[in-house]
Amino acid sequence: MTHATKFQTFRTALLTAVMAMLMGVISLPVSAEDSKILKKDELKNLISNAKTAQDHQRIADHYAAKAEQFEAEATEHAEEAAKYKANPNMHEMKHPGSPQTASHCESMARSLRDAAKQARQLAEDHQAMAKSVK
Amino acid sequence: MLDRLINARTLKLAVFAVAMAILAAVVSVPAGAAKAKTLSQSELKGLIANAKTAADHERIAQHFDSEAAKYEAESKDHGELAVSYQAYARSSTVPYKAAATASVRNAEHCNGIGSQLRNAAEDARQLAAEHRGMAKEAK
Repeated sequence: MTHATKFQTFRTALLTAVMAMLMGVISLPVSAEDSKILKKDELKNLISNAKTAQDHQRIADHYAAKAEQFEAEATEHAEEAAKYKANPNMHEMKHPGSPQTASHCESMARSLRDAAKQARQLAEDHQAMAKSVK
Repeated sequence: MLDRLINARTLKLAVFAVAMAILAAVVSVPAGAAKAKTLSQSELKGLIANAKTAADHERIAQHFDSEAAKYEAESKDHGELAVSYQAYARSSTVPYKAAATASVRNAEHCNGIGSQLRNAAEDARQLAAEHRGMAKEAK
């Protein structure tokens, strides 16, 4: 192997390693954020068979994480509504006051805040059950 | 000798790096594919502020279609969870009456979440339809 070929091989290996690390770094935050959210089958199984404080705590953590997720999405939709209001589209300029894009985003935000509230209540219920079985 | 050592180390490093890259790609591809049509918050805000062409509006419509599908699926999931709570409340394995009562209440919360997510899905579908209308006007 000539010196030039060796250098080329090394450069390719280094580039691939950097790319691999970059891909790993990109995919990690998603997994960490969703770590407390259980898969549907896992959650169903826990609902049917929860006995220990730890079981109830896992369900409580799941619903607390879901509540946070719903609240974050509600905030995003509220921000989208503000953006629509600041930039009325052609249809809205032709029909001022008509319930269009912004109101749908506001409605989504309200629905998700309500879903978050119910998820928080589920988390509190399971937290209480976790304490009662201790 | 030194050349052979360098070559072996380089080869090992290359194989390891390729294996890592494939693993990372396999792990991230399903999530990426599912979110392919969902825009990031900054992308969406940028498009809302500046959408002019039919293609711009179609991209926003696809984003809201994808949001609607996500909320519909989650709504269905919560309906199934409500059924699980109801079944548990009626089952012989319930340790005490308060647990059954809590389970019935939890079923109601799950149905409540399901209902709110259905509403959100409906709004997202309407937003998609409106942007498709705007796409036609922009043509």
